[in-house]
Amino acid sequence: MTGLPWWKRSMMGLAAIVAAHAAMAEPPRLGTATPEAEPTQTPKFQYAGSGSCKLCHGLTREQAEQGPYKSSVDFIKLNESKTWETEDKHSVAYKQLLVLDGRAQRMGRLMKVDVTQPSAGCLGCHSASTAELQERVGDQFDRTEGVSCENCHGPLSAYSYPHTQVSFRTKSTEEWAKVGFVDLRSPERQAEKCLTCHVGNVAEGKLLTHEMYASGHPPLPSIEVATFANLIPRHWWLNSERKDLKLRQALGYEEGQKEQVKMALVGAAVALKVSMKLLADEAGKPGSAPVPGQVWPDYARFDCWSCHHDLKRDGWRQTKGSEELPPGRVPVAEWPLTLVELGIDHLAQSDPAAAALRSDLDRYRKALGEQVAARPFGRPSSVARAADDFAAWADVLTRKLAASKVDRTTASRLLRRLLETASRSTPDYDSARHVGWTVVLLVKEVGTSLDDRPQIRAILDRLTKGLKLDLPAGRAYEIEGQIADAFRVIGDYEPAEFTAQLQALLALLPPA
Amino acid sequence: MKASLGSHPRSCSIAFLAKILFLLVGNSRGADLPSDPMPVWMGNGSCAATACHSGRREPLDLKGSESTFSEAYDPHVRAFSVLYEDRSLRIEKTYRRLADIDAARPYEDDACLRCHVHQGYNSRATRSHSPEFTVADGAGCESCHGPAGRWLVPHVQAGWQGYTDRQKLDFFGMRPTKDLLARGQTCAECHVGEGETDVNHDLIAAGHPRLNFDYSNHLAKLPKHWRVEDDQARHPDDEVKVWALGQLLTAKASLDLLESRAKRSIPEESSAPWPEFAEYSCFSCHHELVREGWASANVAGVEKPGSLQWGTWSLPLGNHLPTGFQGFDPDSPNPLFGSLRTEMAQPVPDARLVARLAREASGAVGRAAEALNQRRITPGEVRAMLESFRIVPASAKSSIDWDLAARQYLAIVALDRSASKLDRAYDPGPARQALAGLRENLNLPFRFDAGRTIFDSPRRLDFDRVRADLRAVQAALSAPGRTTP
Repeated sequence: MTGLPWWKRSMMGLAAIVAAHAAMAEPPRLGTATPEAEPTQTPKFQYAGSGSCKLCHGLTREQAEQGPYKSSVDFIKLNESKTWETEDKHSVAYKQLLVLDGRAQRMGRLMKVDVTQPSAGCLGCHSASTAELQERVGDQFDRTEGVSCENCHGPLSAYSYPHTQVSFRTKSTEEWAKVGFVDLRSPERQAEKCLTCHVGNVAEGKLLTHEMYASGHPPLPSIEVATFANLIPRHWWLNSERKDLKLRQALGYEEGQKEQVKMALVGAAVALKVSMKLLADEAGKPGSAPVPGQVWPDYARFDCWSCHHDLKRDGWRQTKGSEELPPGRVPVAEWPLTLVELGIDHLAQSDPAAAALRSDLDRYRKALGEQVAARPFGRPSSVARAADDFAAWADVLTRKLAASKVDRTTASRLLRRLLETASRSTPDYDSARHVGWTVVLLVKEVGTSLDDRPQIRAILDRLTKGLKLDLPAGRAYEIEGQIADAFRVIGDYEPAEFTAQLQALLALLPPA
Repeated sequence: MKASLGSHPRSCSIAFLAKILFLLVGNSRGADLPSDPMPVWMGNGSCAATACHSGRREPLDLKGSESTFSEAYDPHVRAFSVLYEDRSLRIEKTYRRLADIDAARPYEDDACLRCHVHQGYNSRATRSHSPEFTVADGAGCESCHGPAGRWLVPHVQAGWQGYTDRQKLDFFGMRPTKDLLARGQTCAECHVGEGETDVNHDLIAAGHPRLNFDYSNHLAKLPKHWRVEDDQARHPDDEVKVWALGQLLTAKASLDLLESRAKRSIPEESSAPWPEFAEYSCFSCHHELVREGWASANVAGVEKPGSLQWGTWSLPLGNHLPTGFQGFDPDSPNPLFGSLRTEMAQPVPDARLVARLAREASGAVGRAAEALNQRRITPGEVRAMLESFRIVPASAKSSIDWDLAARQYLAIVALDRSASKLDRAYDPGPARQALAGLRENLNLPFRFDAGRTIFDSPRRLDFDRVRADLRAVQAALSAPGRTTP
């Protein structure tokens, strides 16, 4: 096909999809479903690899804007595959495992596993081939594509034709789900997709064990979903970026809404939910994930830097202490809780009843804290119960936030609120980073009145440098150059210096 | 007991007579001593009578001026007053999770006083202390020599010399401190811990220093209130003996403590911490992740990457003990420590199993210590022990962590001291030079200064340099002409 002009190739792609759909007249297979099986069992869709996606989504920006589908460019960018393959490091997730004498290979030697095999437990995140997913792998699937289209959007087999239809764009989440197409238009599902790997998921075999870390896996950072999505870089439009006002409206966008801020708030609640679910599943059903060496307690589920720090005399950790935990005990990671209160503040602004969520949050946090304090790492069944309850509550909070509205005034108020609360706290490094990304985002979203001021810019620059808020996004394999530096920044981190920056920024805000 | 910081009488006068009277009246079943289980602590004042142990200070003929000497030079006398320092208040505040530092009273907390005054100290058991006893004496005479209630009078009476050490202990409660093993076990009660006298990870995290007990090093540093010549007359091999016994008695005390820690954690309602992180190498976790992977790549005996290293300080450097005792090396292929180590490498070890295994191992190590205590270590053996450091244990390969390097350093220093005394032909020159380099890189005494900040972990320590230092020491030990064959 290489001889054909690009637009003919993409036309042929569509034709091929139509033909394939016609051939696949019968509904998707129900797998091994028997009459006794639940009738609502999800059909087993098949993965097809990114080859067929590229036919339509692999254009350059110029091609997309000038070609036969240019009318669609306001909905989809059409250069998604190109962006993914040339700029997004997810696409090399598998290939990194192959680098001779690279980090992954060294890890494999220490752990005595072949990192490219599903049994090693790496592919759950670095490709799609966990034991469970392997059953579903179609003929076209290529594990060397790493994290590719279908990892987030769902296996292609049943939606390959329907999703090309204009009418499909505004169909409901349920309609999309019927053909296995994941609705990433909604912030909560988008966040959840990112966090299955970036926090973890037992059922999907996406787990980082402490053994993997100890063998050299770089630490999973805290994650502010909106910021991370912008960094990878974003291969989709925000609604506010679309030119067609009718399309914006049809997709549920109200003018003046700050989608990124909402994404940040929703993402924070989802982070709490996903991390609690992970803790509950690991404590409740140890050894249930298709990842070798998974045990309870896996130190990786707890706060890394509680142990991994040099023992500074009169260090901030001792001064900070803990309400629930005796000194010397290991807390669960704190960062997924950092932004949750801000979300509640936001909800309480328009719905006074939402203030009750604050006491809920305190109650669940305390309940979990007490279980983890009962003895180091807590008793597994009690930890599982407390974490499960917390996850269920976080799910309710997520839905409330997803249904809320955020405009510029709200963003401005949230910025002030965040600076006030965070500057009075003693956040650990991961939490500080979560706050840092959110502050930078909020300043940008509030807009020119703030982010043009040199004094404010200077503080944001200091935050960015001091917390290493810039990430090694992009396809170049940069982690080797950055990791030692990152560890040094973590080791030198002092909460007082961070909160002083927040206070300075607060003083520069216009009066409320 | 309310702390009293007042001065106490020093002279052999009314106060002393009052005490004797107290003993006779308050403890009137004197004739039936063994049936009275309650020890009675008399306080330093009883010992410090001028005619007894508070004689002249100079010249230092120590016999008769033990109290005077100790009060002037021995840090143990500050054990109680140190609890009033800011650092102690901060530790107590963090340990007890108090809202305010003003509420912190470590000097009234039995958990502290069990070492900072004496083993088994219990503020509610007032009957076990004479009215003259004061906590302000810190770790006083009786903390090591035993509560004097039953022996204060007899030990100045005719016939006392006729009792054996065993009888003095069993009948009167006086400890045989001249015996090197018993002496070390006395130190270990506080410097390792026993039962609920436990510097566990909760307390360490609150700011209390980790107890890196090394009998040989601690004893060498102690300002001695007895004649060192007497020690040497009794034990010509004292230096090497103390080091070797230290290996075994530290292991035994640690295993007993481990058993106690495991058992205390078993009841469902127990709040005793388990796993107990103080059992493990501090620096397998507590290091910044700058020297990436040094922990997993460099620490000996790693079961799997990311598991904790148990017993790096407490288990004997058995490969370097005299012939016949080398089976106690944790790396040697014997079942003594093997299964215990495997279990302790689990994220949450089975407490019942650990308690049983620790008890068995403690029994074996204890018997070995008794046996070693009965025999003399020859100059030839000291040479062989020094030579043994040239051979890096096979399992260690290139592995080293701070604990292991520091203990090797302390061992070689002790053996070097012993060889210098016992072996006229021994030339300490080259080894000492190399040891100085090692000492500097390990930052002994342990304290890592980085400008104005002090670190209690080997911050950004260059392990390649430590390895090179160790190799230099090993080379110096094998330098030709060092010893006569």
